[in-house]
Amino acid sequence: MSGVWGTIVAYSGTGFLTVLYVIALVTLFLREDDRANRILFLYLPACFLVLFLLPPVRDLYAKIEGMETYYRFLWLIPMSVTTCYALIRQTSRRLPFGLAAMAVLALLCGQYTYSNANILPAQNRLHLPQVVIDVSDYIVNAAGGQRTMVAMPPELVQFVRQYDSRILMPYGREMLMPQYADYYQSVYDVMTADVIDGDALVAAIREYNCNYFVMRAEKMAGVDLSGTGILYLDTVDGYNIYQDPGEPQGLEE
Amino acid sequence: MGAVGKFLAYVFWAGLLPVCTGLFVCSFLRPADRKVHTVITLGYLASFSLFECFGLVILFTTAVGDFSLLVTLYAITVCMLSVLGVIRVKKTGGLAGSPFFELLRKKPWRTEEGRKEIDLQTLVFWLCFLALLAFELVMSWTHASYDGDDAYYVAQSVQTWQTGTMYHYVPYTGITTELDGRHAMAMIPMWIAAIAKLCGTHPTIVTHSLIPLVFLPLADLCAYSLISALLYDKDSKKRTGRMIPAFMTAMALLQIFGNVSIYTPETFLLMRTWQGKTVFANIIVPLGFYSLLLAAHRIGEGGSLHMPLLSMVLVNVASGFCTAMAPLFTAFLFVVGSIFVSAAYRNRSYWKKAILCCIPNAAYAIVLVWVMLPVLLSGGGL
Repeated sequence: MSGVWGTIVAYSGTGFLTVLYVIALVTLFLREDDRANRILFLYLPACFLVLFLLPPVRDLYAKIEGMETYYRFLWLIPMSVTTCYALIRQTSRRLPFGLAAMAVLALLCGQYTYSNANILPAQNRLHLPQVVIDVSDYIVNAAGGQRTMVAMPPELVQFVRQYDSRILMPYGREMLMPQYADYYQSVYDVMTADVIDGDALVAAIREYNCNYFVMRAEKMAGVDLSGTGILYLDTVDGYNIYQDPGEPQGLEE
Repeated sequence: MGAVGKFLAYVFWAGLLPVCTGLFVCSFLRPADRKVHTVITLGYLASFSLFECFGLVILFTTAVGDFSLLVTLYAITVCMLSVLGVIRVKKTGGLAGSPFFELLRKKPWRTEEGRKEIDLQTLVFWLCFLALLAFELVMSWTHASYDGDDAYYVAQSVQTWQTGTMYHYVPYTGITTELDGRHAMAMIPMWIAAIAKLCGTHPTIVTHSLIPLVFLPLADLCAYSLISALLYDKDSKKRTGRMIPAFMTAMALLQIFGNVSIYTPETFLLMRTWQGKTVFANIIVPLGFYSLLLAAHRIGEGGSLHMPLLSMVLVNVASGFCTAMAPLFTAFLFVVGSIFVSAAYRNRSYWKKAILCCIPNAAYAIVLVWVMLPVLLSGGGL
């Protein structure tokens, strides 16, 4: 998001809620007769919007928190409440009609939350991918329940420590964030290469004293680790688990 | 403890006790103000505030953040306040009458008198809303919502739950670190870890499967409080009775179809229900507006400002529980909002009282700056 208008555009997304909110504001401006409601749901949000647009306010916020979260300022504008309030006030004598209209509008113009690509049927009560649990359990058992350093592939790092904090990692979710795009981390670099270089991989995991490392099985096809001292332990849910026996077990607290 | 026992323990610690803590808070209000939704919302605000205050003191005064001490202190205090709340409310006039419970007392499924009280349209709207809420709850139970920020917040809860320390490790990697002041000030991951400890369940199960069962209805209850205040004294009782469930149904529709961008409160509510940002956008901010609206009504009628001011203080303290920036936002909302209300009603004292209610926010900001001083001096932001 760059700049205030960029923030507004990104916040509005498809614009469905914003359009409804603007209609609601006009309706309230013309019809609302309650003084408290007018002040708090018409003039106060308008004041917040003006302040939001002012460059000095934006600059001050950016200095304190950074522009990334400036959109949260807009949470002080109660868009949904105002929209729904205006709807029921306008259709108070024909509420079924008003609600039906809202339902049709929501169905046609809204964005169904549960169709979001990040929402998937849960595989377990933890709502984590089952592969993370299976791989983590295997490693924690192999390590005798002690804290252990494990290099995980990028697609798993986000979840591993949500399951078990006894697994430490040389890099975590931060490496997947845009602000770390230019940051070099040797294990991440080797693990995300198109073709895995066995010697570079072993050197990187030893640099971070990893006891174990996990790689997608298909990515390790043809990678020769013989002569490196690395032990292949097992394949769990399509992931190969390897151990470096030379690395002492049991990290200090 | 079996799964059922753990679930019941969760209901007790995350559902029942915060509500009973609300009884204690409401026992200081006049009986007419002790409505069921007020008891519940103020109860959660008070529980969050209590946890935030205990948490910060323990975080800054013990070596690595003594989590066991925090859990013990919190558990004992909410239990005591709950018992005191039940006793005090009983002794000082009970709860305010609720139309819903009044109706139940008349047994509409049995008596003719009770049946006459039921308005079919109102009933249909409530059923529509409850069906949509039930749908949200079922989806939150059966579907996982993967969010990158959980790698920080949920991992922090798990780390605390397993090690008994607070904010002592980098949650992404598990390496020990200096206190991350900016995130450590918001105690919600620790509260989730505490609830997990008290009900003997993995914090990630509590976070992803159980928290939505409490926070989704709570967010709706905040919207209910707000619409009750918006429609205050506006229409006939019957029409208001219809408008409230109609509003709630429309709100639920916007929640379910409100994923227009990744930034809206609706998206946060259904996709990141357990995060502090969500609590701020969907619980704290609506209750902030509710407090202002209530104050405006009371000023208009020449009534007591006791309850709206109490609510403002609790909103302010509880906002620190959500995110480090939330107290700045709520202070901003209350200062500007109270000036608007004071100007509109030509009341010279309300805005001053509202500013006094923001003293906790000022204290929070001072602690935050103190904690973040090394970062600020090195040229970084909060």
